[in-house]
Amino acid sequence: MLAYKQEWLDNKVLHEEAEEAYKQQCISKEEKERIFQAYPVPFYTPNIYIRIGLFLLTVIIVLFSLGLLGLMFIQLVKESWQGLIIFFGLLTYGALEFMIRETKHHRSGVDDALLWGSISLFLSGCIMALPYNTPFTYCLLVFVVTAYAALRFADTLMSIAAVIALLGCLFYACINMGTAGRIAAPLLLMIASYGIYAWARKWDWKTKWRHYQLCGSIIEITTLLTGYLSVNYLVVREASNEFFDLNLEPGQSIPAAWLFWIFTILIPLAYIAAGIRKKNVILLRTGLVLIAGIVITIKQYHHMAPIELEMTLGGLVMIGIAYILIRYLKTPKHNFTSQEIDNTHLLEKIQGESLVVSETFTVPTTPAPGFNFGGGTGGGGGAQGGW
Amino acid sequence: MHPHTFERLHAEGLISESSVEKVKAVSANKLFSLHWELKTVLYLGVLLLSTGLGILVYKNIDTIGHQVILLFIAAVSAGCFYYCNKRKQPFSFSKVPAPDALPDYLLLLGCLTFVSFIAYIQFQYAIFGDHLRLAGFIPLVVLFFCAYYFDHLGVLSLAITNLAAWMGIVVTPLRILRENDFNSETLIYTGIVLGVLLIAAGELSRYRNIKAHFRFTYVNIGAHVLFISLLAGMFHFEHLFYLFIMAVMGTALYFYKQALKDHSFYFMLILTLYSYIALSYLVIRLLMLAQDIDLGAVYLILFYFIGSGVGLILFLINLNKKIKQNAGI
Repeated sequence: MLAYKQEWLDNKVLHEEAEEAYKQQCISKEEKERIFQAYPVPFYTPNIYIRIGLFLLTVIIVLFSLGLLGLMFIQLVKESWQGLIIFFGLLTYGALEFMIRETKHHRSGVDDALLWGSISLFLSGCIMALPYNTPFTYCLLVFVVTAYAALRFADTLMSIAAVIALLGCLFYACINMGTAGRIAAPLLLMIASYGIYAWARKWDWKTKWRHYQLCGSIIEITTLLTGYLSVNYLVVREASNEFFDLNLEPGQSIPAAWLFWIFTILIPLAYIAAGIRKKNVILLRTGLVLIAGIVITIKQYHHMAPIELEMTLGGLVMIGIAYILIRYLKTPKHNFTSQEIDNTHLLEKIQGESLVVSETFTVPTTPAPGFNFGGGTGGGGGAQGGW
Repeated sequence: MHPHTFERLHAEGLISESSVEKVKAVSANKLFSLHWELKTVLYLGVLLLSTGLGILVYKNIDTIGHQVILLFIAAVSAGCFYYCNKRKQPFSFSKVPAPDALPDYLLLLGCLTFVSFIAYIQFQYAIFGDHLRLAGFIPLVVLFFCAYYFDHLGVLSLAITNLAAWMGIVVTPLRILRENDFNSETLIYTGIVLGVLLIAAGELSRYRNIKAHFRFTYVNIGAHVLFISLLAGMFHFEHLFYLFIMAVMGTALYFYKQALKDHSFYFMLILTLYSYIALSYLVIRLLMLAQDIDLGAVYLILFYFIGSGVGLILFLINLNKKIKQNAGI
């Protein structure tokens, strides 16, 4: 089923484990080398930056080849140009299989670009050519193709697409079932999301499906997010407006609004609580990210204070919480620590961080008339920041 | 790390008994680290607080509240600096690791509020009179001083961004192309000067061993500013076209040699991409000059991009091998 050679994938995992053990000073350098030699990984997997470069270049080649092919054959195919796109998608897919089999590329940028390119070309060609043009058929088609690609290449992006397309099928099926279906749609979507989450938690990623472990984690994150979004008050209200022609005025509410408000506020908190109790990083981080969902939803419908006052107070509270927790967990308590465990990539991380710093903080230049040498960032105390 | 994996490796004679015991001990006492979560919360808090205060004070101009707010900003800034100074390790020209995340982020908060403070008092009270350059210069000096004194890469990039803004350029990654008017000749030349300056500062830090780990931040920003300014010059100045293309290639060659020496994949990537843009522009320009734009030229351009793409892929693959081999020595 997998395009990549399984034995090498296993060896690759072993290499990672040996590397980690070496970094934690459990095994010596000689032992690590011995393991690497006994379990070779002939894959071609370059450094991440080279991977980015190869990805970009492959995208360029694919696009210009499509242009070339179109230029040569457009006179021949005329009306059935969708067929040309589908054909080119298949051609790209052929190139992908060839690269993996013959040149042993694995997550090299080339195979990523060819995979995403071939699937999106094939799908867009099919969708444009399809005689039954309903959203449901689109979702079904996307699901079938991306699920195949996810199984064949253990690709995370394809797994996300497959899960969302599957939920999309359910959504459009609900909508077509009349009023009852429409009312039930958010709850059904939530139940389906958590159903897939429960399946992904229980699935055997350790032995038989071990090569898909990362896809499993990604599916967990995706379904946790879709589970929340499908009952988030903001999403439900605006989506009902959009799809069911409710024509709500500002200030008007949807039926059973209280239920959705409860979900909106409780679900992220529940994620965080469960994440801490079970020491589950995915739950914890998703919950923390979704706190933003609570804030955005509340701000959309309830005006409490001017934004700058909210930001100031919010900032103070966040710094306070982080300060207390860092001090409290300085010496590990209940197996929690605020210290970093893996120090190896520290340099890289810090430098990535410094980029983030210069991106998000706008330093105000003195805002004064006549100061227009070039395009200095406008004043306003770094007012670019947003939630 | 799964202990049974390492037991299997031990059974195969690849690792020793004591190594397996160490693996077992480590994986049994595995701690759950909240490091990144706490850091992110802290970071967002600093972001929100400094931005909120910055807006707050401008919105409340001419009310009684604004002096209180100004005082609060000054107090936050002073408090942060006091805390950081108290907890900092002795100064050294080599790398001084921070004790934990708190001083790092509070220093950032201190610097940001300080910059807001200076900008605001200049705006409201014009303490520096009409010397606007001076008003911009003081935060700059303070930021650079803090970056070196407290050994903080984030504050260093803030200082560099501020230096660039002082010279008239926006250099934050996502906005460098959007907010600069690269049709302005002054801007192109300023960019070239700034880029060379930053690269020189970076190389000097390493060469003289003064905070050698600052080199990456300097050279990284400098390289992007220099390459983009040179490319803009190439697009803009018709009569100096060949001069600028030589300059791009020369810069690329310089970074190529440096990257080979430092085993830096990152610089390899950016020099490849920037010089590819220059090369493609050259090829298209030559094709346009050589013949009228007809189908033949379009074909040639398409073939060029496919061919050069394949060529560059082989080049990068080869480079990857080369750097990896050198890294082993």
